[in-house]
Amino acid sequence: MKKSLISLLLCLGMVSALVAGCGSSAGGGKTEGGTESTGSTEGTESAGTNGNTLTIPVSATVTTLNPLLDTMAEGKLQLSPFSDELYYMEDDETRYYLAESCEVSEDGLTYTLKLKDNLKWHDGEPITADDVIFTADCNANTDNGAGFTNVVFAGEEPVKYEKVDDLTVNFTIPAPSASYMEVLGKLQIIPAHAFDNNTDIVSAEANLTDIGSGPYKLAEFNDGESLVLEKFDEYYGDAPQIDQVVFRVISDPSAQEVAFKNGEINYMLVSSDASAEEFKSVDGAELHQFAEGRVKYLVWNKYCATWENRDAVKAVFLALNQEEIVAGAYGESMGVPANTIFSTQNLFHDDSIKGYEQDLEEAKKLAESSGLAGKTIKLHYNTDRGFMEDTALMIQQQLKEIDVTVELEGIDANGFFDVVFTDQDDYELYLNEYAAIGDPDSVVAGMFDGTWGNNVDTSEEILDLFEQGRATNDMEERAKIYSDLQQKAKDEYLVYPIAYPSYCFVTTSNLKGAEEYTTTPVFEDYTKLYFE
Amino acid sequence: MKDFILKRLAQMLLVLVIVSMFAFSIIYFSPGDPLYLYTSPSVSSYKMTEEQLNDMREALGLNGNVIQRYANWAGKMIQGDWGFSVSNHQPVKTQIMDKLPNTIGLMGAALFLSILVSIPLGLLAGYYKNQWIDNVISGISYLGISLPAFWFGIMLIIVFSLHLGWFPSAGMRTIGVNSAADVIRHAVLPVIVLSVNNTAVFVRYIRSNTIEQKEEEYVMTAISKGVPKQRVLWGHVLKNCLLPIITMVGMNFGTLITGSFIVESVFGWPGLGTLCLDAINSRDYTMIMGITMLACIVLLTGNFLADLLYGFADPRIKQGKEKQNG
Repeated sequence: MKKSLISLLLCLGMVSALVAGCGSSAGGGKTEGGTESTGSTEGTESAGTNGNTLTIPVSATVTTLNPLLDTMAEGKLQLSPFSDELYYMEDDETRYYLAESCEVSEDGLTYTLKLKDNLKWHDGEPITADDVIFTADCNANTDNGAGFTNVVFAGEEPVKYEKVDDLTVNFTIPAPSASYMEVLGKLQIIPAHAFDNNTDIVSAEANLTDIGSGPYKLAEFNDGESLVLEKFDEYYGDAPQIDQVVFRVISDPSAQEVAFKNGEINYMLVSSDASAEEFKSVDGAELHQFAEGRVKYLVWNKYCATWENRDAVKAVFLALNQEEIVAGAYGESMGVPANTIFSTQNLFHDDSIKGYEQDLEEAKKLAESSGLAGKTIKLHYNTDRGFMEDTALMIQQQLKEIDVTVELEGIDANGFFDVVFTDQDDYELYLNEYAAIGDPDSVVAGMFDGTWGNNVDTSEEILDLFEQGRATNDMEERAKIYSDLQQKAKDEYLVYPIAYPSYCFVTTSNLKGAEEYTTTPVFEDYTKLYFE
Repeated sequence: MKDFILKRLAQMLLVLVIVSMFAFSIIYFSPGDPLYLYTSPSVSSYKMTEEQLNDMREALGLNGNVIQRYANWAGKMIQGDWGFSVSNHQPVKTQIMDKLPNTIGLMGAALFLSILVSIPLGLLAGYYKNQWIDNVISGISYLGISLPAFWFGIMLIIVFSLHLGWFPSAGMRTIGVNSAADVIRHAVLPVIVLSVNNTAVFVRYIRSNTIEQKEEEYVMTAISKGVPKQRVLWGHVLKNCLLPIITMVGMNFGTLITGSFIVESVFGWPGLGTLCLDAINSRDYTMIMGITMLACIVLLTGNFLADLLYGFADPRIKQGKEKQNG
């Protein structure tokens, strides 16, 4: 009897756990900083292709709605419809969002930023120069770890900024910098009033409230589940054509694929050539591809004794067959061979420069003469980046031809940079990638001047070319400088640029406007999107 | 009994301390830095100076050697301060408690389903040892033990969501719909996946226990007296087979917790698993430690309760423990 009672109790316990768990979960999502949801989105029924709702899968919801505090790719993706940039520069075109204009003084030091008139935050308050100043202050407070600190610091030197009138702010940089115009344009501002002018923003409750300026405002935020945005009727630009944008957590790529085919989501990133090929023939799906603006590259570690004889580096570069690596790892859809350290999305990319070409005979000779042949070397790669493992395997295979054994060691993103951005000397090679969009004086320069990758053996001459490119605003002169720089980098066997990856995604075919702008991560302007 | 409980509680405390030290050391010595979240070129083109980085380390409690940092963390934890997430600066305790019901619900339902299914299957397999029914059940249970959860999850999604359209493929709720029925509909597939492995293990245990019980004299006596087989099985054998289930439930809490991590990831279930995986990726040590400690407490409590229930269910064991404790 007792035993039966125990088993009964056990069963009841299990049922209670189920009900308790589900019951509390079903209580509704949190909106605007923790208040209970009123179910305002009722009827969307998991969105997807139903109704006028755009549903995008993400691996996790943002942890903040403050664009200063979440600038990683997935954060940007979710906050893009919520918060606008000042302006966006692409080649010779500048698209203005919150800013009316930005003009630079003749000496190249002062940038006068003017906001559009009658801009409003999602809570209805006006957007003014005070908000720009407050945002700059938040970035200058480095304890915040804010993502636009490069707007208020040029190197270690602070940038001065002052309010001119209610809509105008002057930014004065310590020395001319041709890329500052682009850097300033990407700034996303936050409302001073929502934070009570307190620049210590990391733990502020306002971070999870409606602090946006974009075409979509917060409707519902369910941490770990979904972020639901609805169109903002007082938006200054074109009226959004889609009623709701939903970011829904589906972290597993296979589950995302099923959800897409099931019509539960309208968009998904495609991460393999096989998937891209498959989606080309899926009814109701439209595949989009454009250059992502990144460079995938192989680096030799200058601190490692293996490379004391530079011929060993040449041997490796000449042993590699780039076409074969890109075809094998990226396939037809996911990337193209890289020819320089700038991507095709960079200003001043020189497509007349040829990439490294395989010369096995020469490579074998150099490997023998430099003592590299017969050695075992270690190659690190970042396991969180696409195509790295396949690329590493192909390099391993190709270097066998010159009698070099490659040991592969994959490390996740966080641990990876702890190893390769240091002066460790116990590995020879690593595979990495960097963003290379717009002005090369931004991230690209940082990868070679010691800001990020301090184990790249950049010569004084190349560093000087980066300096020269930064110091002049004359576009023709810059083009010449950067062309020389790209050629010089190749001649010096600085790094081996492998591929320019594609940004590849699929949408339901009724979604239009997805290729209006090819900014990554998508979409630069959500007002251009609509359902047919 | 009181001594037994006190002794077990002391043991649990010791295990907790050891686990916390071990987990903290692993995080400390593993490659990676929580500051990567602020210093990566993907985050900002601005490279912080050493001084600025040091200030940030100080603010996030990342300065000092492993002993100092552990002591700092443990000191606060004892006072009920779980700290703040290094990655999003929100209180760890609040975030964990927000997600805990979702995971508990999933685990509880999976455990319930496992018990519900495994008892009849295990009994039948044991009672009809080496007959076709045993072969079928044993074959399925071997399959259940071997199935990788992520693969099985995707297969269920493809069949029941994509092709049949019976259940949603991911998430815990339909956006805008706040009802228990909707949550249960979303939970069906993840619960099945999470319960499969445990069900298979439970079936194996119950089967072997049934085979043992079948050889006991009381079963022989009942059969020789002409008691119907079904009554012997459900009325006598079942009672004695329930004991190992109690132990197994306690022992399998660990499998459930780790299993839920994978299942939550596949089904986009917003529980502790996804929270923990995100924390591991960002080296968010306060969050990792919070979840580890909670999982450890749940596991230890499960085992402890199983021991207690076992004692209540079988007085011989209770008496034995009391004798051991003097």
